[in-house]
Amino acid sequence: MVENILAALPILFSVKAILFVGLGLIIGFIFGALPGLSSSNAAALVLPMTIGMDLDVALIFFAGIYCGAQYGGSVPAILVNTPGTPGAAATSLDGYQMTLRGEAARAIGISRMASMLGGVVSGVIVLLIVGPISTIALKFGPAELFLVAFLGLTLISTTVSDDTRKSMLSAALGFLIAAMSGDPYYGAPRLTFGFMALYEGLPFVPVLVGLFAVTEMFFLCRKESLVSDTGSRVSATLIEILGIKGAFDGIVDTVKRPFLILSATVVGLVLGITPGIGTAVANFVSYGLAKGFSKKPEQFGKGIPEGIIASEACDNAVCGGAMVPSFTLGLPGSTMTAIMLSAFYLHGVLPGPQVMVKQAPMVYSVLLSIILSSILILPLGIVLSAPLLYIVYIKPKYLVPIILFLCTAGVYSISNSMFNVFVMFIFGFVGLLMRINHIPAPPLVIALILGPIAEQNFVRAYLLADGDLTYFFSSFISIILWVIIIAAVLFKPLMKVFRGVSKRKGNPQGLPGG
Amino acid sequence: MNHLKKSEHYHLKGGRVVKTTKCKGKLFNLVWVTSILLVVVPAAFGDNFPEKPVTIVVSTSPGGGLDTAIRQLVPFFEKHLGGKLVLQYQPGGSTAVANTIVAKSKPDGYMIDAVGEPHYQLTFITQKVSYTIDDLIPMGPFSCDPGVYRVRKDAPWNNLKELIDYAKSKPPRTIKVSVSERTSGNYLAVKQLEEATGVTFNIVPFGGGNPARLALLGGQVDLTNAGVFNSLSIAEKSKVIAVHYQENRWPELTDHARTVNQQLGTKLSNSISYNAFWLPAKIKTEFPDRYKKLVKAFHDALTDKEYVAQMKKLGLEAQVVREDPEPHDRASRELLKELEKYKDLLLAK
Repeated sequence: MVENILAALPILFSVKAILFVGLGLIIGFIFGALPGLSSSNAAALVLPMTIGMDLDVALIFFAGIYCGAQYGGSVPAILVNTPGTPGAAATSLDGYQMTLRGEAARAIGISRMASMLGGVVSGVIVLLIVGPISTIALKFGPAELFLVAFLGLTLISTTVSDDTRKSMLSAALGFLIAAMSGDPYYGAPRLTFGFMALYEGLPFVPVLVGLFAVTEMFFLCRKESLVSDTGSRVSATLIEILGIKGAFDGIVDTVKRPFLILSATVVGLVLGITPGIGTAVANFVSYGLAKGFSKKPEQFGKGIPEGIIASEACDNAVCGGAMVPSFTLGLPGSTMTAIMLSAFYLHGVLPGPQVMVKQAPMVYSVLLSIILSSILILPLGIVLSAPLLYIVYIKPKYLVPIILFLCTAGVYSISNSMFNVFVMFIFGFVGLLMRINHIPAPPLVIALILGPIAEQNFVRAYLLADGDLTYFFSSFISIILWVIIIAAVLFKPLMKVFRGVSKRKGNPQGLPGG
Repeated sequence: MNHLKKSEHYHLKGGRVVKTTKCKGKLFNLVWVTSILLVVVPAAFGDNFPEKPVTIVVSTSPGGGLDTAIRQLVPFFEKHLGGKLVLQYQPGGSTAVANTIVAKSKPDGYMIDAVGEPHYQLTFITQKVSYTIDDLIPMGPFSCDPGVYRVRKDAPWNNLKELIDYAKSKPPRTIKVSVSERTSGNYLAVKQLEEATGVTFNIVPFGGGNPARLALLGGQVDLTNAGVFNSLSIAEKSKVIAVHYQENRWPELTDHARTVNQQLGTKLSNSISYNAFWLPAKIKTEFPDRYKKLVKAFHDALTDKEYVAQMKKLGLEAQVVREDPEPHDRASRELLKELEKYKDLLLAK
């Protein structure tokens, strides 16, 4: 391994490679920051241009795009509650609240630092153990994937919102919407109302943009200004305006919480390796766990750094994890990694396990480039996001139409279809109804992603086991997952009991604690 | 002098106004003539097609097998067409979304449908689609992938015969088989194998080729039906025990396995999938020259020496196929008729 890393260093530290890391980060940032578009759209667009490059440089380029987009998506999520990428939805929960308090620069600083650390730590872990963990993805059969989906839903319903009942309601609605698709076994259309576009399920990104961004616009347009105290702008120093102070605050806020960074990274890494889960789910799971184990869970969602860190460190940790099955098995877990593998073919290299043997230095150079990209997020991120900080000073009467235009354009361009635009606006309205009634949106979003994963894998596992339900308990990984699920369900009530006991202990009169 | 000049100028100005009005009339005529020429001349002498990028509508997600095969060909297709090609991904409806977009598009040659077969034909059987087989005409296939049966490297069976004998000695549904979808060619192939041998498998669709192969490596299933070339990524950890085609033309890539029919004495038809380009059928009557130009460029690209060399480097030269549009159209229609026999099987509840 050491010799492979040493052989990889000259590949990475060539002028060309570093140039493409930077370029990739910038392109990724722009695509990530635009609502509706993400790293895979950017990658599909630049793929033809990479034909003339060496494969290692092309892959390094993609790695830069990937990392840049993961960070870029968080910027509009924090500034205007508009997740640029699905992963940034979890970031917006606390990030946007900080913006409303006038702490946008600090929130972005936290997101940037957390993205960097998540990317670096996961990159280093993958670099060290990519060989041994290569077969982990294989261990996730249908039964295990069903349980992962089940766990994700349990965590989100019990932790993300404080009202479990309303969360369950939201998740149930998400499941119902997710059922609008072809049946996973027979392929017969269900609840598609004759819309062919619904056969593969409702397009996810328009729903997300609708629920978060469009819904927010209903509220934003009633306000005089986005930030409560615009007066501070006048007295702001140059350093504050450029976001340098915010960046500094963000670094301090983030490094103060090493355990949170590590746990978010591990969640991102494991869920990144698991095929088909993706950043949206991973980040919410990380967020839910952070909240569950926090000493001040009631402050989550009201704008605390922990919420951003949990989501963003996980977001960039997924990058490293996603490379594992792609490089070691030739099996992509997401559209982004599928495009990276497509580049292999275009360069005359057949992806598969043999890549790790024959092209090891190249694989290691890509993993190293993820670490380098993550580090570069810090300086490049400041430059790229500084101008965007001005967004919060734009009057809502101008900001709302601009954001709606960008959302419409982005969502339309996913597949050049107005259908997506209608879906976005319908869900903007659904989101409005939900918000008025205090029903949280994240469980719906997660149920929409995990619903099909849970259903398809349940059906597969059920078929594989010929109807024997003990199949869901038959592997070591399934048992572990069951234990975590049960813990997640019982965690809140148990904590209540535990807190009650400790309060009584500290209360000698034996009076019921308030 | 000055005064005179001024008046002249004024006069000129006035003259110009009149002139301009006259010009409008001439311009109008000019536009007329040009537009007539634009319509008539191209029909007679061929136009400058393509004057803007031609869109290839891909019926699957980016990064998939179809996308990759197209990407490999695109630079050479562009070279022979003398214009740009852009890819637009329209997955959904089991290829129906992309097919509908192209079938309903203006037949001016700027929209090409890229779709896998027999998926294309199966969509007619399993979906309610708003186009017919007459709405699209093929430009021809560009890659093929014959079916093989793969087991894990450490599996106890060295050929399909051994596996079938083993399955017969055990209760039905003992052998688990992964296929991509229940409405796909490889599901049909396994069903045909069941019918021919009397064995009952437990056939599980995994929603795509990649997950189906992953399930074999992960030990969730014992057998998978996949394409020769598509499954090369798992070649190191698995072995081919039979080729579901009339002969094994790819011995190096398939562990020198014999065919299904050779091993079992059955008379099964070939299991093979294609990737092909289709155009709106009306292009043949409305823009016949563009149709010819597109088809020629496409076929020249397929025989381009550099393209062949690139595919050879990957060990995928046998994947490349070329067939003229007319025979492919006939074959496609015959396949649809053939597959309609399995309608009940595909839609059975």
